[in-house]
Amino acid sequence: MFVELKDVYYRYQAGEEDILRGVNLGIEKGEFVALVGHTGSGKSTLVQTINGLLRPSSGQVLIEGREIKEWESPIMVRKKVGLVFQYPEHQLFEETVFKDIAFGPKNLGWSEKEIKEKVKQAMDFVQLDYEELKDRSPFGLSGGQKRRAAIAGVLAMEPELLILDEPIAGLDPRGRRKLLDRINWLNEEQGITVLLISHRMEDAARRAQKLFVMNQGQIVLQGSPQEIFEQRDELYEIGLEIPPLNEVLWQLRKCGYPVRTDIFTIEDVEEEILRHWRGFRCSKI
Amino acid sequence: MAFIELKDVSYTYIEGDEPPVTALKNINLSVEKGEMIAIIGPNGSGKSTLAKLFNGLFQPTEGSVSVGGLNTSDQDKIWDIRQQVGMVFQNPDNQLIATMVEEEVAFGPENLGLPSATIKARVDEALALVGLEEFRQAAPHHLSGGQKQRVAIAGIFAMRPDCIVFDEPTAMLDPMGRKEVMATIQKLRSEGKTIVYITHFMEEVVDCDRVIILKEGEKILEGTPLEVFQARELIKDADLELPEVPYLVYRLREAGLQLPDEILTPESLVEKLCLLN
Repeated sequence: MFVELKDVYYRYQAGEEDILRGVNLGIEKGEFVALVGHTGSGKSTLVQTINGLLRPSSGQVLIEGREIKEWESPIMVRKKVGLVFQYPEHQLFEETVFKDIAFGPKNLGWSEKEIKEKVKQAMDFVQLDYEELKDRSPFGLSGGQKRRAAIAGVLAMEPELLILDEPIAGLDPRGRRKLLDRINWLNEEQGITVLLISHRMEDAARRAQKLFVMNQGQIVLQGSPQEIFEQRDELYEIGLEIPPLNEVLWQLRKCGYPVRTDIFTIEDVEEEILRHWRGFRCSKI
Repeated sequence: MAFIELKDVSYTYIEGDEPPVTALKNINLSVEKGEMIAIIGPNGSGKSTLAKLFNGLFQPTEGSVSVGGLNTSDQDKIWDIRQQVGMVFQNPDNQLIATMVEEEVAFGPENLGLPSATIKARVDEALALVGLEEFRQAAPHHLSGGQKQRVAIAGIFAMRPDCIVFDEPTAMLDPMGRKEVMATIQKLRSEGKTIVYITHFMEEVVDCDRVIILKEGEKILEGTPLEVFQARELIKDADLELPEVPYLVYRLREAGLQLPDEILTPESLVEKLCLLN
């Protein structure tokens, strides 16, 4: 197991309420997993324990079988586990785009030449023009460019696990699709393990092989997207909605049609409806 | 004359020695009292620039904008105009300034110089409308994103504008917060407020009276949500995405299913599919 959490609890201060309440979770190398849950369910706290920013109040966080607190230095953990925060563009701070992206790699003690190469690669990857933008102030970039510059800063450290906390919030449909496509590419072509936090169940379902659903500091459901969307009523109870296409299938089933509800791409849903539309009479309408 | 009228409006940003950037080109647009219109477009299409023209925060480079018959470039009337058209922005954290919810909501009415009994009545009314009466003593920064945005809406509502412009009010919210805000906007609408709703999510415009699509500063389409959803090619060209249910309906119709094209929600699709049998 690449990352493993064993019975992890977290609270900010002794006597305060637990934010994480006994989380158990495992991520294999090369997997693309998604973490979903409403605001306040503990998602952001959970991922901060995985790169060592927060230390669990009890329980264990292991990376490659070793507890984080046993690692020689926190920098080595952060080199392995790159965390892109929500609205990462708010954390840009250097005078130039180059310096901002180079900040992480510099802390790893790489040579100037290596750093330059990594920054260039990371900018290429997020589709920012190196020559045009490297000397510009990050604050003069557009919203989408800032977001990508911030992600490049994490990628430049070449993490093996990339965690992204709501990376697409505030982006338009094209920006969203492009960014998620790049993340998929990193996972498929570069073998980088990805943990994506997203409000949008449809994105989580279409991109990840496995979903973890959080509620009140615990993982309450986990499985493939197909398995998770079978639990429609359980998801509703904790304030989550299944994607609209799955809602269509669910309601059809309630009306007496034995349609599958474990599919989620538009092609599959279309095919399923076409297969059934003459089959049975609806009794409820 | 419509309540809000934009005539041949263009807007160009000029900054230092940078080449000028034209954000809006020849926009003609009118909004009637009580209407809810949506303005939709990808990032950089000019939506937010347009929003700021509605209450005179920006003056058009060319053309004219009038609100209730007043021209927004008439500096003597600018405060009358801003009292008629309130704005709610994307990030609630940038809009809230007070340490307590009720102070926040009272801020606008206080600046209008109203007597304190009137201010109190308006704050009560506004908090009831957005459903946050029990949070009146709470600190805004302790609220959820959806609640913060509702506080911002209450603050605007308490100033009694005729029209409220929303500039991507749900962009930073989770699905629950988005629902809360959308429901609150529907309430404002039933109170007779004119609503201008700016977004890049097509699924949010389903309930509007009229939808305007912007692309690179130009109005490329205007119509009811149903009419707009039929224009699949234009939507794609504008880098927008048809909501999933109308898209599924389109595909099912193409495949020969006899479904009407006015289906926008899962419920109505299920109903129509059931009727087919």
